[in-house]
Amino acid sequence: MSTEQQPRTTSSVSRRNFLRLSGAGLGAAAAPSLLAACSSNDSTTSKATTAKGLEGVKPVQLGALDSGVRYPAGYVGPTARKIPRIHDGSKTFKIVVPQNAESIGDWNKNAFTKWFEERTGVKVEFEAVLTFNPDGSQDLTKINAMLASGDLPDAFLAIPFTTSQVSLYGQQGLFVAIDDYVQTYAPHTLQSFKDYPDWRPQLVAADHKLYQLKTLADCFHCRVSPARAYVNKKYVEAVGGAIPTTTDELRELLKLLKAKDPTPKHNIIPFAASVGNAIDRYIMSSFLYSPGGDRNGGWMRLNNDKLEFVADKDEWREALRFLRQLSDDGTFGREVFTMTNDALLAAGNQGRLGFVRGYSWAVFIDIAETGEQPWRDYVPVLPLKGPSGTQYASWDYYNYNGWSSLVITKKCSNPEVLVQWADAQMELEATLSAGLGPRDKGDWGWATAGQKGINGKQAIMYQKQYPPPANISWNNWSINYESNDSRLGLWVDPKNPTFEKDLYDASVGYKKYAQPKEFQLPPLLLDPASASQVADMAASIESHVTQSLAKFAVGEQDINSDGAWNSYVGAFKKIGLSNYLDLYQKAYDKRPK
Amino acid sequence: MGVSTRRRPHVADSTGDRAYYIINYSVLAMFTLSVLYPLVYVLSSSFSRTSAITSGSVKLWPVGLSLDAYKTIWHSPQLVTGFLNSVFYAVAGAIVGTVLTVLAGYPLSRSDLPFRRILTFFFLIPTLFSAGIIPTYLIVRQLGLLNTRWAIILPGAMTVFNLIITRAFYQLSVPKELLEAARVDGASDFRFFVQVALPLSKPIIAVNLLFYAIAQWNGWFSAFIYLTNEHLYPLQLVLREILAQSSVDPSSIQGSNIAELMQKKQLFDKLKYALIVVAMVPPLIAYPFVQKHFIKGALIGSLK
Repeated sequence: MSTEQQPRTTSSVSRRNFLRLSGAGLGAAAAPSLLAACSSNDSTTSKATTAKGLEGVKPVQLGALDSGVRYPAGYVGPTARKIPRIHDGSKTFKIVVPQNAESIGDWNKNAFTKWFEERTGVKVEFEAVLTFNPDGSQDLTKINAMLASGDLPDAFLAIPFTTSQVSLYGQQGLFVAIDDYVQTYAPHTLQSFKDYPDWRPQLVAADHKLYQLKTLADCFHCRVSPARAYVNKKYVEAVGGAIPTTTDELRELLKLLKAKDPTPKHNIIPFAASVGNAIDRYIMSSFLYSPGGDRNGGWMRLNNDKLEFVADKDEWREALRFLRQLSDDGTFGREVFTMTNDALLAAGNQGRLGFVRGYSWAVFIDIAETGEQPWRDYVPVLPLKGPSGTQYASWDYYNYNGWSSLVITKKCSNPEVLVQWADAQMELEATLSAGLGPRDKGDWGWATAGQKGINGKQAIMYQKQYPPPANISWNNWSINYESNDSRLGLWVDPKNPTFEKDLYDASVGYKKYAQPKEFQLPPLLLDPASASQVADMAASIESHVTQSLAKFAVGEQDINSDGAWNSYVGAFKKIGLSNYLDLYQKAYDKRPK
Repeated sequence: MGVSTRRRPHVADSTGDRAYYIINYSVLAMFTLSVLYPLVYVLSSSFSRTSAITSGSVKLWPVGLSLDAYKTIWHSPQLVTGFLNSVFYAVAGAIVGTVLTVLAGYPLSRSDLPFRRILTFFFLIPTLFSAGIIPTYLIVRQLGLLNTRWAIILPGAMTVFNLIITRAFYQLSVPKELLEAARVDGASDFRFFVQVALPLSKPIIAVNLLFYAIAQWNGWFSAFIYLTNEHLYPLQLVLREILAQSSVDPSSIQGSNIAELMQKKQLFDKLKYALIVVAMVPPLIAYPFVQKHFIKGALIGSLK
C-alpha cells in the first residue's frame, strides 16, 4: 500500500470535501481550524495500521458469565457477563448525543444512564443536540458548527456520521484512532469482530484504521425486507386463485383479481407499490440477481470479483417485458411508481390492495396485535420462478450496520476509558437494558427453561411491552451488539405471539432463494478524491434506471423496440458508467479485509 | 399599490362592471377557499381518530371525534415548557427588537444627524452579505451566551428591514416643522422624542412588535444551533424534534426494528395535526388585535 503518499493527497482533498460535506454554513472561519487539524494529522497517519494493543498493558479479558441466563445450542452473539469497574468517577466525560424527548427524555436523568454509571463507574455529562429534519432526514448543522469551531466534547454518541465522514475527520485528526485501545480494552468488540468477520472492514476508514465503535444489529428479516411482497389471501381465495409461485401465475392471478374484484368497494389495485417501496428488487429476482439501488449507487454485483452493472442486461429487458405484459393486461399501472407512502397506507387501510410490495405490513396497513387483524390476511409471496427458471431472493449479507456509533475526539485525554465504556455496552444485559430499560424496572427478564424464542429454540429473554415507558431506555442508541441469535432469542408468548415472529416467519422462506454471497458487492468506502464525481454519476444512474423502468413498464417507451432499448443502454455510456464501475472496482480491490 | 376605498357614485352598474365584479369575487372566493381548506382540514384531522386519518377518510369534517392528540400534548411536559418558552421569547424578542429599532430608526430619520449616510450604510452592510453560521457560532460561544436564553434574543435582535421602514415612517409622519415648533417651546431632543415622536409612532411600534414577535414565534434555528438544554427550547424546536422522531422513511431504515417504526408512525399520525394547531393558534388569535395598526403602519412605511 502507498501509505507514504496517502496523507498528503487525502488531507488536501479532504479539506475541500469537508467544506462540501458540511454544507453552506461553513464559511471562512472553518478553514484555519481545519488546517490545524490537518497538519497534526500527518504524523499520525504514517503509523502501522495493524493493531497490536498498548504496550505494557495486559489486555482486558471477558468477565465471568452470568449464571442465570440460558442460551440455545450453537449460540453466537453477546453474552451476559460481569463487567469490571472501569473508572473511579473522578472525571466527568462530556458526550454529545442526539435529542429524543419521547423515549429517552433527559439523557442525564435517564434510568439506564444511572444504572450504567453505577455499573461502570464512568461519569458522563450528556449534551443533547437535534440531528434530524422534520422529515426524518439528517441535519448535522449543529454538529458541524461544533466541529468547525473547535467546541469539541470528549465523544459523540449516536450522531449519524457516515463512514466516509468518520474516515475523513479521523484522518484529519479530529477523531482518535482506537485500534490499539480496542485490542487491549475491548473484549466484547473483539468478540463481535470474530463472530462477524465482515464487521470491522465495514467500520474502518480509508487508511484502514478504526475511528469508531458501532452498533451491530443483525436483523434477520431486514436482510430481505426491501425484496419482499405480500398478497391478500382472502382475496385470492375469493377469486378462486392460488398464491403465485411463478411469474406466469402472478400474471393470471392479477387478471383474476381485476376481473372479479373482491374488494368491498370494488376498487382494487391489483398490483401496488409506492415511492419508498420500489418493485425492482422483488420483480428482477425472477430474471437475474439485482441488489437494487438508490441515489447513492447500486444495481452493481460481483461476477468473479469483477463488478458488473445489472440494469442494462438482457435479463433486465426480459423483466421489463414482463411488466409491460402486466401493463397491457390492465393490472399494472403508473401508480406503482408514483404512489406516495401515505397513499399506499391509506389504500391498504381501505382494503384496496391485492398484491403489494412492502418493507413490512406496517407500510401498507395498520397493524393491530389484538382485535380485528386484517393485516394477517396478507401473506408473503416468495420469489417467483421466472420464465427461464431464475428465482433469487435479493438477500443483503451485510445489513447489520447499526444506527449508533461512538467517535472519540482529540479533546479526550483518556480515550481508553470511553472505549471500555462503549465496549461494556455490548455486553448482553447492557445491550438489552439500553433498549428496554434496566432489568429491575421490570420490562424484561431472562427466559426460563423451555420457553421458545422467535426461531423456535430456547429463548434468552422475554419482554413485556415494546416500546418501554419513557425515560428508562436509550432507545437502543448505545453501542449495541445484537447478533442474529440474540435477536431471535426473544420469547414468543404462544397466547399472544409478537409481530417479530411473523416477520421472521415471512423471511425464512426467502432465505433458501438467497443469491450466493459472492454475488453481492460489499459496502465500500470510495476514494474521497472521486467521491463527488461518483455521487453525481450515481444520482444520474438512479434517475435513468428508475425513470426508464417506469416508462418501459407502462408502455411509454416500447421495450420490444430495439431502438428504444439501445438508446436506453447507450445513455449509461454518456453518464460515464464504465468510469463509474472502474472507480468502484478500484475501491473494491483496495477494500479492507 | 393601495386599496381604493373611495365611495362610488350611485349609478347603475354597466354589464361590464357586473362581469368584473362576478369574476373578481369568484377569483377571491377561490383564493379564500384555497387558504381556508388546509386550515379546516388540519383542524378536523386533529380531532379525528388516528385510523380515520391513516385510511384517508377525513375530507372536511372530523371523523370519529377524538381528543387523544390534545391529551397527549397536554401531558407532555416538553410541549408545555416549550410553549411557555416561546411566549417568553416572543415577548422579550419583540420588546428588545422594537426598542432597538426605534432607537436607531428615529435618529437616522433626522436630517441634522451628522454622518447620517455613513451610519445608514453601516446598518445596511449585514444585509449585503452575512458571515455564515460558524463565525456567528464562535461569537456567541465567546460571549458565553451558549445555552442561555440570551442566545435566542440577542443575536439578530434587530432587523435592518424593520429599521428602514421605521426610519421612513419617522421621516414622513414627524415633519421637521413639528421639531422646530417644539424647539421654539424649549423642548430638548429627548423630550421631543418621548413626548412627541413616540406618541405619533404607535402604528410603527405595533408593526415592529408584531414582526419581531412572529419571527421569534416561528424561529427555531437559533435555538437549534445555540441551545442544548431542553428546558430552554422554544415550541417550534420541540415540535420539530417530535416530527423528526416520528417520521418514518422505510427505505432509509436499516437493521431497525419494525415495532419501533410502528411506534413512531402511530405517534406521528396521532400528533401531527394537533401540533400544527397548537403552533398556529396563538398568532391567529393575536393577529386581529394588531391588524389595524399593522396595515396602517406597514403602508405608511412603504410609501417612503
